[in-house]
Amino acid sequence: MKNEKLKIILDNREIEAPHRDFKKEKIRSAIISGILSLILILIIAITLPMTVLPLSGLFVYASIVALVLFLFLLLARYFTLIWLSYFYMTKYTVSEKPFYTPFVSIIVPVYNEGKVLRNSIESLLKLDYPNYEIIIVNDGSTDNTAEVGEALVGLHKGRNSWVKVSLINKPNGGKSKALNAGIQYSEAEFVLCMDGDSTLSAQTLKMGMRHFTDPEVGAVAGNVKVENRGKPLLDLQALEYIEGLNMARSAQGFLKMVNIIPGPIGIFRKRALHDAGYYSSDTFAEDADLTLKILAKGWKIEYEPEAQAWTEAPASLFQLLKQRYRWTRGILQAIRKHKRFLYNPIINFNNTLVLWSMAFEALLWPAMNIFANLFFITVALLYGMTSLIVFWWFGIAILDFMAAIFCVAAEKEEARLIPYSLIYRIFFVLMIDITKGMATVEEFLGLAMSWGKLERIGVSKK
Amino acid sequence: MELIPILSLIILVATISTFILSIGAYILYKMREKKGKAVEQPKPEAIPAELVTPQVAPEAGRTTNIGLRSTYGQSLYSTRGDSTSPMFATDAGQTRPEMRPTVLGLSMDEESRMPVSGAAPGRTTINAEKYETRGRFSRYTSAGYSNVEETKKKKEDEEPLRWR
Repeated sequence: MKNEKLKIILDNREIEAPHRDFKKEKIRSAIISGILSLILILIIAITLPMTVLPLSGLFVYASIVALVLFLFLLLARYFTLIWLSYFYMTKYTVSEKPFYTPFVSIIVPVYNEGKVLRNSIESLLKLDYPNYEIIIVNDGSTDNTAEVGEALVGLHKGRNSWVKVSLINKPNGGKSKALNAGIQYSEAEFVLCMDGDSTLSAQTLKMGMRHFTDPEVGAVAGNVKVENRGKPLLDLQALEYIEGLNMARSAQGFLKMVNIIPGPIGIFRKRALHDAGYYSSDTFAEDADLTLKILAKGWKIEYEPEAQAWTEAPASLFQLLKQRYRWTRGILQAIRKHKRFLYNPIINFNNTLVLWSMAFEALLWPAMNIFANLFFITVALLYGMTSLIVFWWFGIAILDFMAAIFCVAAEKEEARLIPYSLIYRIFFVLMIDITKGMATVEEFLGLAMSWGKLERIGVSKK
Repeated sequence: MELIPILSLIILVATISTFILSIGAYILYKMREKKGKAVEQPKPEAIPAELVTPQVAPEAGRTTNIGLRSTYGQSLYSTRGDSTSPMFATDAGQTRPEMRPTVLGLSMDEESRMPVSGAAPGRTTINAEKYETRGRFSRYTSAGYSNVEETKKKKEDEEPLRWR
């Protein structure tokens, strides 16, 4: 069958975010933080003579109080997430949803993914779903992605039906623009947006589409897993995705308020995308931004653990920290963009809840983790209380071990990942949190950043 | 127990090393990042692109389960807004990028390969009509895409997109 090439014009518009006066914001932040600092200094100056403790004792006392608060929050957070996740898994296991198979367009945005594109498309052709098409959007790649994509265009025999694969070659404009281009071209009521380097499991569409029988559901978040395992850093990331990300997502799924639909796998109702104004390119976390926009419009977002996307995680420490740096800044940009919901719960209370939890996870949680570790290092080095750090690690390790067992069992994952939970928080999470802290400082200082590109080595096995 | 001092030493060293490693990686990242001001690229309202699509024979497309436009099962479930009013009112007067891509014709490569006898114009016309009859502007509704020319054209549609 021959292919035809057509010239088209794509709509490149997007909804403009409210205008921000950065200079005014910085001045306002400086004034508020200055006033708060003055008030704090006044309180200390007035109350310090009334205390019986010396300054160093006051410091230790305040640190201990902060640490106890952190431990309380740590336990509350873990148990809330585990219980909500457990309730979701239980509900998921016993409830029966009918299968729903409307026509779906799968949008695959690619930029220099020539090494992995074929594997991605081949996995899409194995989907156990009767009614879909694939739209590859080449975002101005400079390698052989266009040639690989063109070779894939045509009518392919899928598992249950013929599948049409189309390609759009457009000038480079970023992932959000590429996704918008694919969504524009699609005539389906539902679209699945994924990453060009990911592969999907066969049940993804079949299981994900069931949730759309509820007319209030605007989107479904999938389950992202790490494909390239085998090394400690990659196995830690695999554990993080299972325990840190997917457990949180299933807890949010119980409330139908998933706060971030992951880039590698998200299924959307076109109407919800339309209400949200499609993807925007003014943040570095377009997936978080779009999710918040959809929630703001009153749509519900479900989580489907069987809609699995297998992605290539960064293999080097440098690449990993670069990725987390971008995620953190992107999420903070998205939170800032929607900050009116933080201050005004009357507009949409659910969205307020979601945003406060995101702000907690992005800002407060990493800061508390860094502070706790610095505290134990300080008391160990300055006061010789080295055993405290062992008890701290032991308590955290037990908590993580328990969570890892639950998550690995719930997702039927590899049991060999469970022992990594013993070093998960003390090494891996601490490193990520330090990067998050740096990213947070830079974001609030308004320093510029660039996208960067994750190096692909093409490790798809599926 | 001597285990605790040994463990505490290991954990202390690991934690301090993690701090140093993270800060070092951050410094390395900032050094490798491109310096200088990022030039903000212009964002045109419309951009040209190329669509590569398989030519589907009319008979094959409609009789076999190609998977095009099949909406069986869709009518069994209502979508939000069909029978109930939306939970939150949509922003009045705001527009969304909802254009369908406009097909101009064959790309440069295809045109140069076409014989002069004129098979191309006919095919181009057919394909152009397939998209252009849908109109440059289409509004997505629960009944499918409808041409904006058939509906009341609002003045706000021509204004730049705004957020509340």
